[in-house]
Amino acid sequence: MNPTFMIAIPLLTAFLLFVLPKRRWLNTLFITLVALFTSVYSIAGLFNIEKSMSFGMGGWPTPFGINLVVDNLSAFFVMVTQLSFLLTIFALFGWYRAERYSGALMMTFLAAVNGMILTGDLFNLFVFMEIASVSLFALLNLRESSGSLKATFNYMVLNALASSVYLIGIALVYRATGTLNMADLSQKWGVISEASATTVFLMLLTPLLLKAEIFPLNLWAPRIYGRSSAGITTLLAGMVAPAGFYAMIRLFSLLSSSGTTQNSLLILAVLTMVIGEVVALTRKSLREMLGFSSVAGMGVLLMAALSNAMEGALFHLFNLALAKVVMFLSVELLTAGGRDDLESLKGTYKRNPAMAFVFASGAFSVAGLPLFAGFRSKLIILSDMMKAEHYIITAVFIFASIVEFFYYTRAVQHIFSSNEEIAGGRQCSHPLSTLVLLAAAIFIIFTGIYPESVMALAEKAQMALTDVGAYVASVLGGM
Amino acid sequence: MCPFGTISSFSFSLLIISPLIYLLARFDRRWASAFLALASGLGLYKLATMYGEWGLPSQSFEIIPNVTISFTNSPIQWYFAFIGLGIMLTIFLFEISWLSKSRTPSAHIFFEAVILASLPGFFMAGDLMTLYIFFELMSWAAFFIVSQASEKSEKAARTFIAMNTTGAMALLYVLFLLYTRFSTLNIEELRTLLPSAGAGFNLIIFALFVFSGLIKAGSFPLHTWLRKTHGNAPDSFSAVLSGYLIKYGSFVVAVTTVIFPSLLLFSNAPHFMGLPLPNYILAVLGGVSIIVGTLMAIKQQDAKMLIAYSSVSHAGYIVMALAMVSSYSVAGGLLHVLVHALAAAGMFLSMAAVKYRTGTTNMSELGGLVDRMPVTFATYLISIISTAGIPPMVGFVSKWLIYQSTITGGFIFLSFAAFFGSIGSFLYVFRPLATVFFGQRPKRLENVREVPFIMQLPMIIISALTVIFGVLPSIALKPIAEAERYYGIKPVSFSFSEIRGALGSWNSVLVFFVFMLGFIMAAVIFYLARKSVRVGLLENYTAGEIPREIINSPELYHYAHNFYRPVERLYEHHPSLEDFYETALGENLKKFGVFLKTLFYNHRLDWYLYVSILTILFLWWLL
Repeated sequence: MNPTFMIAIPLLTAFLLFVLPKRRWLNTLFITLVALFTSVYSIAGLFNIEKSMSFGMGGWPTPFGINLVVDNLSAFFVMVTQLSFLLTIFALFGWYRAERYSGALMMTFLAAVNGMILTGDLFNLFVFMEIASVSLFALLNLRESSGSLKATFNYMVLNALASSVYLIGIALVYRATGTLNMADLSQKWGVISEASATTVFLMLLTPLLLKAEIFPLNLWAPRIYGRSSAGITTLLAGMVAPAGFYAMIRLFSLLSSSGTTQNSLLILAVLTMVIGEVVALTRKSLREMLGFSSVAGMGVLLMAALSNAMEGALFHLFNLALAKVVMFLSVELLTAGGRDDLESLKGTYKRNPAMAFVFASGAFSVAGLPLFAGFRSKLIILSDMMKAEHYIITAVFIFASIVEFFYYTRAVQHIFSSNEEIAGGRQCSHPLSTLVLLAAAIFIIFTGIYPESVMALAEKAQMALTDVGAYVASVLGGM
Repeated sequence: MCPFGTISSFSFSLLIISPLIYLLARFDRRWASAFLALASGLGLYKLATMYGEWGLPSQSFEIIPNVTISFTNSPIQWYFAFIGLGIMLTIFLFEISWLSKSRTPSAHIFFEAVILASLPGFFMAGDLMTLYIFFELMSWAAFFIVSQASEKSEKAARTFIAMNTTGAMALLYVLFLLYTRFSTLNIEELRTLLPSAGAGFNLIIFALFVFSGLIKAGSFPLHTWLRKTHGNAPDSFSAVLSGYLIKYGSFVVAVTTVIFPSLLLFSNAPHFMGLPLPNYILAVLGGVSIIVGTLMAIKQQDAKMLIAYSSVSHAGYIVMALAMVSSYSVAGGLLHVLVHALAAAGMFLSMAAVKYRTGTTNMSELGGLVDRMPVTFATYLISIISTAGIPPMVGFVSKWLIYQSTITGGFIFLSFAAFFGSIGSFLYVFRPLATVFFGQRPKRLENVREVPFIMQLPMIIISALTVIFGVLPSIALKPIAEAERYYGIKPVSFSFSEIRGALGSWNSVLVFFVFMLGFIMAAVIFYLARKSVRVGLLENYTAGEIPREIINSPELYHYAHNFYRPVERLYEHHPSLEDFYETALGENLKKFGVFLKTLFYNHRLDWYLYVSILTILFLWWLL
């Protein structure tokens, strides 16, 4: 696939929306078609990747110009974010019609997230991160009540701080090595002395940790999750966090870092997981619970990635993103945008059985119940972590899983409670969103039983990640 | 055709069609239940044809490298699975009619189909991963069934799932420890590989297995979920829970001690009275479980909770017997699995029948149902005779075998516990008998009728089996001796009518005929010297007098309330493990969560900075 399209088409759509006649249905249709096209294009491309491919932009030779890189890893992540985006668009189809502003913002956001994943240049990564953040801030406040305003403000400030740290980091890198191209940098990384390398590396990692919601840079996240509607939270959990995670593991594989750095990040990952799960246990509001759970999930991924369970981490990332998106959306449709505390959710399955089923399959997937996708990826993570002799961390992971299993079954139990009479009749959601979300839920179960197809993709992605030589060769032309 | 393909296809096909069963139940719940009864009958038939063909694992798809979902057939596994399917069969028969009392019959039947599917999968598992997966499926399905009964049962179900998941996760951890070490999870292969590992490694494996086994078996000190869960579950499902699902734990214990050769593994560990210390500690825990279960059962006001605690006590017998790994103890422990499966199913089903007609199991609201519900009464009576270990029933035989091993081994505490449990159970099982079936009948129960025949049938089957196995325990001992031979333990010696123990022999047929003779003689005397008049239940227990108060306020004379007050007073202020787990673990974890929330996620911008700095300092200090 040509990565340029993945960025250019959504961006173009964003501008075109203002040229098109002012019709809501037209906007919605247009956005939906574009999202469908980019998704199909990226997924079709994913199966045709032989090796790592680099595309220089604007006719400049790399490493002097900006380049985009498509290999199994970046294509895998693009697929994840595209799927999240597509699900959001489809599931909310009947829920709200895209205005041209929010439509344009979402398209810009999509372009930026794809750019974050596909770019091979540190500064370009910064630019795309900023575009993604800015469009997300705008989206957060476009249709939100004042409740989320403060949360968004905090997020903005933190984000700006982290970005400036990153900017200083790349300035230092450029000063020391004279390049910002990731592949080129990985060759010249040895030039920097070890102490400075650690500092610079951590500076580069700061906004990525923030995007990937790793403690202590995730303090903004739960409130945003708790106060925003599904359209935004799915973008966060299913797109921003995976993109941040991608950039992080890419930097990890390209730039060598010290053992201490990796260990401290591992500890942060474990802390993220434990704090996230334990706090999620206490939350009464379902959205907030899901928010903390997403945070904890990112901790699990980073923990697995840093303790030799990368393949499992990538597979788990796919399952988590899908399950989280599905859950946020089904909660939105189940509560009809209203109250979401556990008590008021009692017996809501009678109101909307399809969405209750969708939520349950997402929840069981994340909780790791056999037959659901998350179980298979958790098993791979566990087995690889044990093989790498991380006994204590595995035990902590097991503990976190118990907590997670408990609060998810509790939530499902409340939704499926038969002990409460529910007011009002059946309120089915839009048939299109029901259909799409049911398909996603069935796919979760299907992956739980036959995980081979997704696992093969994760395995290829993991190989692309470890094969730094091929990455560098594709960018620099076999230098 | 591989005969073992059948049992895996039984599990899988049942799982696949379970949504269809749900739809069938939506259409007509009786058909769905009957269908599942038929399915369990079919499973029983398949199992019966598999008897004697041990070994030969069958495999299906791969889960992680070198680990596939696989099934195998060995005597112990066959024995557990056979009993399980038998119990499920009776329950499904019972539910054909009982389901009309369930508020969510279709969901109930759907999840029971999942449990039925998980049952042979769990017990016939060829490797630990299969065991784990089917256990999780079972507890997940059981969780939703328990939730459906009432508002209260939702909390009970959460206790159940919290503890069972903890057990399952411990199993998962130990499973990966084994997998990392031996890169296989096949039970047969692990049997031969484990002795090569060090004692320390084996001890960790043993401890974690026992931890998860004790939770699932509902044995001390991890028995606390039983009372709430069994007490608040839908009535017929309590019989499944107690009759069979806690045997999942007994099976895990059997895997730990018998299938994995624990005596060999710990042959270099310190021994106590001829038993390796880990086994001895496990046996003592079993003994404590007997005592605790008995004492707590005496206190209960609700018949179902009482039976739940009796299950704790019986789980203790099984754990204790299996932990001793001798010829008699393993035979006794395995036979006790059958005994308790039948007895618990019988007791819970009769209580379900009582509730079906009266709407309560609170003992002080019931009474005098003996002539209204004779079959239910007889089932309960036979089950408790077996529970208390009184001769012509099968319950005596298993306890007799267990006594053989505790006495010949010279285990004073264990012998005491075993006898204590036996005598204590006279106290508690008598109480529902006296207060539900005998005594004064409250006015509102005047018109109670016996349950429909389809509900009587499973109770009759269970009672008949309890008697038949009591008269001819050799039928049940055949697969047990086979299992002992298979795992290299000296099999118990028995003939058609007689079991030969270390301290004498037990001729069950003879004893049965002596009992029958005594019974017939008593009946003859009763009918010959018949000068009695038929009296009402009321007069019966006021010795013919009718005091004035009894007419005005009869409930004063209902003696179910504080039935064993003098005994209870002896241990009134006991510490409660149930509260301990709930507050120390559950509540404190939640408090900790709230603390973390206020500490980190209080959404103040400056606070973000402090937390970040503190985290960096913490990492600096740590590394």
